Amino acid sequence: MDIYNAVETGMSFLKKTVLTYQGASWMLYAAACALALVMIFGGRKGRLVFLYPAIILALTMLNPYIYPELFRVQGGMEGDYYRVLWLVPAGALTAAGAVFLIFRFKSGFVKCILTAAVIAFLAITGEPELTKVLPTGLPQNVYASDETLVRICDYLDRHSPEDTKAVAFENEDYASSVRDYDASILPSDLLHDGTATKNAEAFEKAAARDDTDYFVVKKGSDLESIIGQAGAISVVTIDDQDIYENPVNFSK
Amino acid sequence: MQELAAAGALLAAELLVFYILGTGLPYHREDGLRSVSENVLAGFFLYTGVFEGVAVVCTWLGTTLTTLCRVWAVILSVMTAASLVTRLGAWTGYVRWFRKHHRRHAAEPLLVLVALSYAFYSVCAGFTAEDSGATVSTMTTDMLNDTMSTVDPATGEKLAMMSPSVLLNRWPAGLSFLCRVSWLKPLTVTHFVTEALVVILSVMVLWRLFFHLFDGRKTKAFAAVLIAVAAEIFSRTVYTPSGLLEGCGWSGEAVFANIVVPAVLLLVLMMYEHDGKALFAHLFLAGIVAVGTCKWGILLYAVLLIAVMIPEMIAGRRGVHFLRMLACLVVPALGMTLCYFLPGIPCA
Repeated sequence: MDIYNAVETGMSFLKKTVLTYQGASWMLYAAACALALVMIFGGRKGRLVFLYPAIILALTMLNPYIYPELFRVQGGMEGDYYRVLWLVPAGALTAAGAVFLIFRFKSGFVKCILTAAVIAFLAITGEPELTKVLPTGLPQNVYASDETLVRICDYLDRHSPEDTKAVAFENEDYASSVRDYDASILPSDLLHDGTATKNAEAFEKAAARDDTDYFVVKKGSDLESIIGQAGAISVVTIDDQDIYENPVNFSK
Repeated sequence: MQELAAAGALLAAELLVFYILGTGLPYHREDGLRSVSENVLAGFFLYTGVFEGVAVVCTWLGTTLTTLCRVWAVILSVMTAASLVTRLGAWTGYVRWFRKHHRRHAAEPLLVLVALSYAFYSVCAGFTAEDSGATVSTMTTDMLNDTMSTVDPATGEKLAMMSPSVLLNRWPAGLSFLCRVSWLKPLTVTHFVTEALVVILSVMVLWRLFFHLFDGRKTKAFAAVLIAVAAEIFSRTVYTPSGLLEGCGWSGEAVFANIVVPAVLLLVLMMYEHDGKALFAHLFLAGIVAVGTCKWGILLYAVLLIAVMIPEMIAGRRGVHFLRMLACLVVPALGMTLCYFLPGIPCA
């Protein structure tokens, strides 16, 4: 999912926010209608709580012209425009507007029917959270980790004598995402240290000083030959990744 | 099953403690009585607000999570005992009130049913959510290392500097405290206990908001709660608070969007009705809770309070009332100053 940036997209930002986050986008229209109802039937209290703050926010923080200018200075909040929408509680506002309208009728029967009709309308046109996931199953690999990385982690968990293992990955994506899948692996930077990976001799010295237990390199890469010459022990190949043990660490 | 029963007991205990603490806060009504939901909400703000203060000081001093839990357990015990002793009349008063009124209207028991059903639904939806990352990982890391946000959950390494927004956001520490005292797993405390608690409190705050909005007419208020809950369940959007409630109701953002924001509107409405100065204490506590629950809360609470202050100014209500509302902005303003002007705090 892209995060839209208020500074870059300007006026179309609000529309893109709504489209991107999808859900039942009619809530915004329902809230707008409810605001009109509160304005007409809400009385002083209704206007004080729902209408005036909404108007002030619409003119300031929620204004697509002003919001980018406000946060161009602060930075780091451009993609979080939707959070300001929490300040106008759309569900409560819709309910207040609906009740102000429904209870204009005298008959209790009509009030009940109309309340039920509004709830039924919301239920039919809406999209509840649970419908996304039924029938429910156990989540598997929910963070969509790379399958090769998953197999590497499983192999190391089964074969390593240590509870936590320091592992140097040549692939930077593996290094950054490995702990999403396996918290017992501590990523090491050794393979991205330009001095250490200059040649086999430098690597041997660096590996002797380092606590890294395993090296994971791409099969046939330059790093593999340096690691091999430095005395690392090849243990297994998983897909296109070779796993090596740090001999110094294991001989301690 | 044992874990589920313990989680249910923890939820009930939390609501009871909130009620007791709520009775200890000053009253705004002349008859000295407050409804159960008002007491529970007041107690929640008192509990979370005071915990925020204690936890920020402990984190600043670099104490362990165990120390924070011990300190907070002592403070909470003292506060609860003080509330019980000083406001014993509220309990007997409520029993008298219940005997007198419970037959008159079916709204309250039905409301409890709606709140429990909504909580059950949200817990079921929350179990399927994948977004438990930030809060749960912070809790488990802190509990494993006996630290308070000084270890990076992603790498397991000790941090040299802590962001001011992390220092102020002590909501996960509060959940860790619950894990420590109940021996429940962090996932159970978040996905079950806190999810259900936040939903129940959000229904309570909606009920009070509509009750005051419709001049105490329970039928109108109950119909509005029903429609609001239906709108929240069936909207499922990130730009309304309900998306948070069903996806990750245990997060500080869900607390801010679903409890703090309606509570501020409720307090403004009550101030309009009563002009009681006791209400400003609640508004002040709501500001502290907003700062402690999520980093957006610091800014958004200030924006919301200003948005509700302007109409009152235009209507001509200034003087002491206006100054008190400005005083409620002190804590968020301090939080914003810390977050925007302090690059980081060295971890002790």
